[in-house]
Amino acid sequence: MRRALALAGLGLAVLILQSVATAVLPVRFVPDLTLLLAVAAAVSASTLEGMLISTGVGYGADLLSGSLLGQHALLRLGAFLGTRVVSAQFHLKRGLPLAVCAVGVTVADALGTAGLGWLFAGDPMLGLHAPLDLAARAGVNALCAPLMVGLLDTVLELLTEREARRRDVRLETRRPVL
Amino acid sequence: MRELLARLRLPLLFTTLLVFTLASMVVDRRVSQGGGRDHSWWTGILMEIAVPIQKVLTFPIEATSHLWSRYVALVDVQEENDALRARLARLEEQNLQFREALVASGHLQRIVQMREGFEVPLLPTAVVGQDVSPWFRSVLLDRGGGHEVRSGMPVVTDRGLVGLVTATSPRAARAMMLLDRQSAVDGIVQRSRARGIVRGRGTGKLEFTLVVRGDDVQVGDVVITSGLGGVHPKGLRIGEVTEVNVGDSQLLHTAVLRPAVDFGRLEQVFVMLHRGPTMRLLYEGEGDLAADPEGSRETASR
Repeated sequence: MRRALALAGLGLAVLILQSVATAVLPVRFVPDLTLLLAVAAAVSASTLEGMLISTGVGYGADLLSGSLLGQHALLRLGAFLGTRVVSAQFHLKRGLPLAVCAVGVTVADALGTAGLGWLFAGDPMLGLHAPLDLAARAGVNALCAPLMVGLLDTVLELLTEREARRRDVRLETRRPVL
Repeated sequence: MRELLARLRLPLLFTTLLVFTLASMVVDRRVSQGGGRDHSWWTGILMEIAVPIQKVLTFPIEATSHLWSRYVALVDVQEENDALRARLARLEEQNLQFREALVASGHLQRIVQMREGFEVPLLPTAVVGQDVSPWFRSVLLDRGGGHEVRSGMPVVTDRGLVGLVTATSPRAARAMMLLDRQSAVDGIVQRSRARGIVRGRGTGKLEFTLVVRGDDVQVGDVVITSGLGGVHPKGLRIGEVTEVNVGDSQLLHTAVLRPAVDFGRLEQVFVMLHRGPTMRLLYEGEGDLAADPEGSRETASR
């Protein structure tokens, strides 16, 4: 329960940070932190936790965005799954592979957004300027991805240590007396 | 059996989440298309949660920006104040001359009567949050259905058009800005009356498309709402032409607009508590516009 609450708190903190970044930075240079959390969850968390974190933070983004309810949740779930598949083949804890993966996931996310926009609204919403925006966003996400993985690693380590300390360990020091 | 369930737990969870997200998108789309988004309970609950969170989030940013703009960045304010006072005096003099001319021709009285006929109440509303997704451009407002705000109502500032309310809950509303890629407004060039569609590009600029090639559009022209879409009232300032792209098309050309409103610094906006005929048709199901005196009057005015 404590672990679930802590991870939910992390998701909320990411949304808060994203919201602050949106208000401060030019839109092209705002890192997509909810997407990066899904990537980090695929690299560091268990499958169950990762799926729930990704979908939860996606719904949170839907709440604070003009998208359809569930659109970001679906895309974050897809990002988690894609990164999980890639992480089975490559060691994504290292900086460069993770950055390359973040670029790939950002592009896939943009294509997913366009596909869902086309499917549900009849308009892919990607104009001629999209590649330039996308390149900038992918670059920013690549830079921020190792930080997000580091943050999630730290949180998960803290939670695991605390759980280990709280666990009851019984040492059998005596033989049972007959 | 237990072993099988344990093995299928993750695929089952994934399938459930996938179906749930898709279903919520389909339902949300259907509700918004049907025009009933004002009272969808899940949107309402989520937006009610979002408003206080966004207020807390934006407070330190606003406080810092206020501190900067009101106390730190006031170096040249005396000179600027003098220049503005001089300009105000000139404008007041001009305004007086114009008023005299209008009164003399009897136009002022007719304009006053017309304004009374089309007066739209404006509700001041604070912007409490911006869109967190880079692909969408919307804002969260702190007034909602409880203050008579409804989906389809235009949102403006003193500088011009901001966008359109797209969803409401009792105490919050979401407005899609002109910059959003899904936004399209029928506009005209104020000087030459050239007509086109103003579309959002997802960036800080707007695109004025579908302008007939022969029409006169020049850099510096002001584009206003035409009122023809039946969504926004006529005459709201949209932006200024900064670039004209003739392109290869034989029939149409486009222009780039700088929005009249500074979307990066939106703090307070006004919701026009009035839906245009198209929005009334969509949200209230009023099929016979001719039977509605308000609607027919507005249509006639355009």
